[in-house]
Amino acid sequence: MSGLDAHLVITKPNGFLVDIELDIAPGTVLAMVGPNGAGKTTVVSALAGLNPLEAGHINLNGVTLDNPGDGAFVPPSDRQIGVVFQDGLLFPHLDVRANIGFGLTARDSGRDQIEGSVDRWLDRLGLRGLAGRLPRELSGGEAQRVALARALVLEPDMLILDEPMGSLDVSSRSQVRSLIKSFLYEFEQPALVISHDPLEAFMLGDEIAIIEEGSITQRGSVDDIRMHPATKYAADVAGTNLVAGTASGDTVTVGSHTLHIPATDTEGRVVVSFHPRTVALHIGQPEGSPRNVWHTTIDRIDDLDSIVRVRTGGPLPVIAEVTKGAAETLALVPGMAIWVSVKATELVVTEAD
Amino acid sequence: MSNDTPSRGHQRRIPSRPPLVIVLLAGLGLLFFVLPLIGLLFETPWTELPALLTSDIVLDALRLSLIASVLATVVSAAIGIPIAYVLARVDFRAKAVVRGVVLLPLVLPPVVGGAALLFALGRRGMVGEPLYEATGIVLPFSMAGVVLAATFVAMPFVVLTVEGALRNIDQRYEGAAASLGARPWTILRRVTLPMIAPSVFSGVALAWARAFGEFGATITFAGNIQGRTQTMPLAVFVALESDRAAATALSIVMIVVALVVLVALRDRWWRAS
Repeated sequence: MSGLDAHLVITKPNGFLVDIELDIAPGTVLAMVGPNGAGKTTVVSALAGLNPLEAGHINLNGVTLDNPGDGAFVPPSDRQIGVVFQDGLLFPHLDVRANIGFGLTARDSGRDQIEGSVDRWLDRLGLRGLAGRLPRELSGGEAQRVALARALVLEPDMLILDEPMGSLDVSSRSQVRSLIKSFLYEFEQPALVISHDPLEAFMLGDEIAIIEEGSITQRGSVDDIRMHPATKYAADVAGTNLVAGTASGDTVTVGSHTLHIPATDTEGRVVVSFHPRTVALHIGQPEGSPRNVWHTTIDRIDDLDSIVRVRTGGPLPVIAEVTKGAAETLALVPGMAIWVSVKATELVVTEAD
Repeated sequence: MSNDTPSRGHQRRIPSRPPLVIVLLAGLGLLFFVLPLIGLLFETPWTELPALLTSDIVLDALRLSLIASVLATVVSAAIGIPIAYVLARVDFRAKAVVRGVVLLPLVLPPVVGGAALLFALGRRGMVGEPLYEATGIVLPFSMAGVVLAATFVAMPFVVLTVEGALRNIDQRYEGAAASLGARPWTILRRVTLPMIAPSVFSGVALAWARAFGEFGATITFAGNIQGRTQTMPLAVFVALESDRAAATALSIVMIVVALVVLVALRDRWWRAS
């Protein structure tokens, strides 16, 4: 079987158990997103061989890399898994050229082959002019490009990117992201991107896996996660509005706020979910059919590529998605007063368990 | 270290004026170091100095001291770094005891160390006797003995500094090297040691300084034979009894050598750490 087929069972140093099934087909990018402490780093070190499994297995392209059951263990140096580590981890005492060539040198490749491969990757990532620099003389984005080249020059059987944009400032993020995306697109082996940033995961992953407290709680396409988030965290990740309240007839009480819902016979504790794009924003008080209308302020505005995501303040914080044009017409800025409306028919009410 | 770290918010830098008591005590401390040096310079017979410095006693002692202290430093690094590595990276039960034993020479009176070496490695010693019978090698009262005595007192400095550095570096770099195909020996050689190089050099410099000035363990274990085991400190000790001018001359030489080495190393390596 080609690609990655793994079942990782491993206890983290703080004592909690990570138990994850992971298969990634060749040419597929799986983006694993989860909160801090969910076990993402443990997944990386288990796959890289830095942390042996307690149970389960790791098979890559039909070769067993780790299987405590039958005692198989391939050391990290023989795994052919390229890892771009969090913070890059460029060797501080080696210049860019030596960093990229490190793996080839360690594998005793011939000098000519090393020079040739390193030159090719320096060019591909636009690093030629930086070849003699030390890591401390590089910007965050440049360092990340070197880390990518250092992993890819070995033509690995799998690529892992651990928080590839984690240490970058906002300005270089989108540039590095599109660069990584283009290299991932060409990469014909399984790839795993680890992130705590949903946006990053959605933009890089063909598929999304949500990891929470050591387990995968949901796996699917970006649309699956966005439309049908399985957990509260997944909903946060997907940006879906999810509010808990008490249903009675055709209203749900959420704190001091009352939401009108389509008439149901549900009573008691419920979760109301509605997609951000069903939330409308108005400068003046809207007239007409929407039953749920309230006045609030804008807390935060996230500019995504094609849409703008607006987070509003109390009494009922929600996320609204509007087009870039609409955001400009309304001249939305954080802190401004705004009217929010949601049609009752857009609200999906589920009984809370 | 610069104090120009970016200030948070509207924090202002308060001009630092140390308390008067601190300044006075620091001045007193400095005097404590400078006075003996001045005393020594005052005593130095400058006109006789060239003749004294080229005397056999001084030249023999200087040659022996330099060779023995360098050899002791090399041995200290060659086995002190592995000890530090094991202490920093390998988990075993008796670790605290092992570390205590290795660092003992730092607090042990050197004479006691020398005596212990004699009991173990002397011609009638536990290891020394079978060694002599098997090979004819006699360690005490030989140049090798001088090196051994100096190594015994100097190596803990290497272990102490290098172990601390190994604990402080981010071990994820070693993991990164492994994922790039490097095996443990390559990782040590190409990543770990270069990353802790400044600390290794500090430890080695301290070890050399300690070896160069070593007295107690040497005189106990290796004796005081001119041209064979009489190092600079031993020569100074002997000269103090008989020839004060020679003693001061020897002292001047030691001070100059030590200062030159330490200042040179400081500029090269200690700035980096």
